[in-house]
Amino acid sequence: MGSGHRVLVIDDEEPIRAALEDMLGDEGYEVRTAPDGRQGLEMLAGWRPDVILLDLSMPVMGGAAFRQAQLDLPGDARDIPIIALTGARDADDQAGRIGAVAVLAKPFDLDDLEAAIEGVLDGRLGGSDPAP
Amino acid sequence: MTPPEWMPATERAVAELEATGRTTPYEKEYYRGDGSRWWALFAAASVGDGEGIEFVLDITERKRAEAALREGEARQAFLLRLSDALRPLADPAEIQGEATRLLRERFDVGWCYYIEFDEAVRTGVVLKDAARDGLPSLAGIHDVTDIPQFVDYLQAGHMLNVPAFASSPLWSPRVVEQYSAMGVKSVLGAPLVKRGRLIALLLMVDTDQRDWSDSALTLISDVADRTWAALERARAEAALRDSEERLRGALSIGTVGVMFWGGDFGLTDVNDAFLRMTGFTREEALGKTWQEFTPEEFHPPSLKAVEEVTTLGESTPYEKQYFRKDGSRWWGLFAARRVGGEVVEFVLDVTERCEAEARLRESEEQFRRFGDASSDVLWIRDAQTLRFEYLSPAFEAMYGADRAEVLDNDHVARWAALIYPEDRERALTNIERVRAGERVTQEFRVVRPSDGMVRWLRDTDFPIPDGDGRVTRIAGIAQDVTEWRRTQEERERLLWEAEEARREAEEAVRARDEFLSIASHELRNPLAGIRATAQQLSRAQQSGRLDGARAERYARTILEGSDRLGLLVHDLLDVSRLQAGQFPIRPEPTDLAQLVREAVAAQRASDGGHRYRVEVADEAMVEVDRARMQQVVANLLDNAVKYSPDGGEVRVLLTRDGDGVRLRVRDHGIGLPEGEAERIFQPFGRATNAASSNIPGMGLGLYICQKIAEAHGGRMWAESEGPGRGTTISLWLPAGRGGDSGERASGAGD
Repeated sequence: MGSGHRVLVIDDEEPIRAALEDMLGDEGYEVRTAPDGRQGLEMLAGWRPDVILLDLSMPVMGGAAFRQAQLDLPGDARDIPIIALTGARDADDQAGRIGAVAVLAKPFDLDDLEAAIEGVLDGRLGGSDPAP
Repeated sequence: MTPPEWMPATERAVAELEATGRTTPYEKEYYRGDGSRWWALFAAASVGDGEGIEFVLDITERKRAEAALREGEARQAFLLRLSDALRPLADPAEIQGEATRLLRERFDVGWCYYIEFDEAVRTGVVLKDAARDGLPSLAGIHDVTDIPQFVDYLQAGHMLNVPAFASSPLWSPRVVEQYSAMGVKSVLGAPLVKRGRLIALLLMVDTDQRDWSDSALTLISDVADRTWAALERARAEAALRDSEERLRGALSIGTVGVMFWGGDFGLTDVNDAFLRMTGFTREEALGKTWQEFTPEEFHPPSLKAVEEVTTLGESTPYEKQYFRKDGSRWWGLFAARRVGGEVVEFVLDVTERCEAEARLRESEEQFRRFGDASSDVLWIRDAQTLRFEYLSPAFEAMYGADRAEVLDNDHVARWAALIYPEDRERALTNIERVRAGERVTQEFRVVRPSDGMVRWLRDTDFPIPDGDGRVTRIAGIAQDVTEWRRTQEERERLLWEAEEARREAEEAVRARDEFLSIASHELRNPLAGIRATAQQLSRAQQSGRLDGARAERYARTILEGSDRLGLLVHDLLDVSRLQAGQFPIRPEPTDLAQLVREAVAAQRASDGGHRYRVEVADEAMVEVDRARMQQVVANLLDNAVKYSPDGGEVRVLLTRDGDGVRLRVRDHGIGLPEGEAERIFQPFGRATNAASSNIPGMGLGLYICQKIAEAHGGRMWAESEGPGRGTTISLWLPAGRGGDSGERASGAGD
């Protein structure tokens, strides 16, 4: 299914990173993870994912700050679509503010997440347009 | 023997003798041997034979007496004429002119003039002179300063008889030259010396040399005297006329009535102003007595004035009413003075002023009635002395002080002494501001001597300027606003309380929102980890990818996540109970030293990475809920380990501190950024460096610990020298009190 598409997971919750890394790896995606926005940003320097799963609430550099920095990146790195993961009560609002193409409220279902990633990759959820 | 003029008379006598034999006696002058003449009475008779006998009688003496008599008569006639001529004259110049004209004509001299000297006899003035036709007038001012010998000579009373002008030593060369040039040859003058001073000189000056007869000398002296007398009379009359004119002018003043009272105080004369004031005609007024003009009730002051005039000569000015002719009254200001046998009295019509004063008195009376009736204190002070001019009776009740006594001891200090000490300075300063022209409303307290109560007064003070804008008086109105202030303060307190309650409610809602928000986040993260791991376990199992290692890893992750979640829920429940005020504390006497030692031992057993240094007193008795205090101490030790991930020493120190004991737990870990020592005690409050170091924690532990400490009457605080330099958390608890085993609860409302 993953057919080599690249996914970057940025989340400070180690069990989530581990579960997603295993799950997406099993599905054929190339997965990398980062515990905060800054390390995620550093990864973008030499590696271009097709989609980023981004926790919004993290130490060091949160989701909003990461997104801001991503939009300032040179080249097409700024166009990498974001799927927001958040435990906040106003998940949709927060995701809308940073222009995520999809948002999943924690705790989320792995099937829903997989569908969201596929949707982004199929173009059903478009580029960097904000999610409806 | 016979002078030639007498020859015809002599020849007439010879012819008569020859015809009749005798002569009618006749008088003639005869020469003496020395050439002088003498008067003789001759009578001759024939005795026959051509011989005659002649008798001669020397009648020189008789003749001289007859001449003198004639001359005296002429002088008297002249002087009579002079007097008649001068009498009607009032002008000094006319008098001089007329006297000198008559005298000049009498002696036919070139000039005749009367010169009056000033007091120092430096100059003389000729108002008008008499000069022969063709000669210049000598009227004007004559300087005599250069002829002192002339002045001295006259001052000594000498007649001036100078037949040969130019050779007299009395004059200076200037005078000789000046008057010689005018043709002066001889001078006759009569000085007038009064009280040793030369005041005038009557002069006859001629262009011929003249031998002045004795009679001329006498006459000029007489004329000088008469001229002087006439001038004196004219001047005195002029002065009298002036004086009368002034008096008449003075009495014609339109605004002051003048009355002349006779010896019996009947009216003998009045001026027109008095008639206008009273409405009487002069005929009606004259003869009336003061009693007829004066209403009965004003007789006493009038009698006093009469008394003063009689004994002292002058009355003190006094005011009274007077009748007009129509019976109406007017107010007069009177003053009288005795002048000779009568009394002159002056009166000013002051009706308008008196009525204004009466109106003012009425107005003041009204004000006084208001003031006396007011429950506010009304006062007026003299702006200079600050003495009370008026102080309303309400003062007594409001200040609780004796009004009469305050008015007697009428100093600002007496008033200020009633003011609450703290407010005194301000009240006095405000009085100064009012004196300077400002309007001031102030509130101050007074301490009532009557009952010792402190009352709040509101005083509105204002300046009262006079017509020139100077502040001559200051006034004020004071009300007792104690009750009003109490009501106001109560209202403000209620408002504040309502506002406070609203704020607290809003804060509670905000805190609940924040709590829910953070709790939601903190719960969802571990939950998401557990769920994702569990689902991945299921997916791996279904896809056949689940090997033993994976199963073990997933199970451990789920277990750890569940534990975290369990602790979290426990803390959240504690916080929830704390905030709901349902956090029971059951204090019992507890040895904190013992409790700490046990906690350290337990911590040490599960931690191999740190060194523990424990300095704890043998015994430290406190009244605490033992289980809760174990929770606190364990949390502090747990934090010390958790926030010093690189190991190092954990120092535990328990000491007495004031009325209590103090537990300090010091680590050598990540420390606290500046300004975050308090934040870590807030719900979910974590130091920024703890969060960024990925040290797990929700920030509830210290919050709960602090609440527990506070519930025991203690407190907690944190100290750090900065990031990376360790943290010391202190817990202070009051020393144990025996017998107090009551249950205490802590909550948001405490």
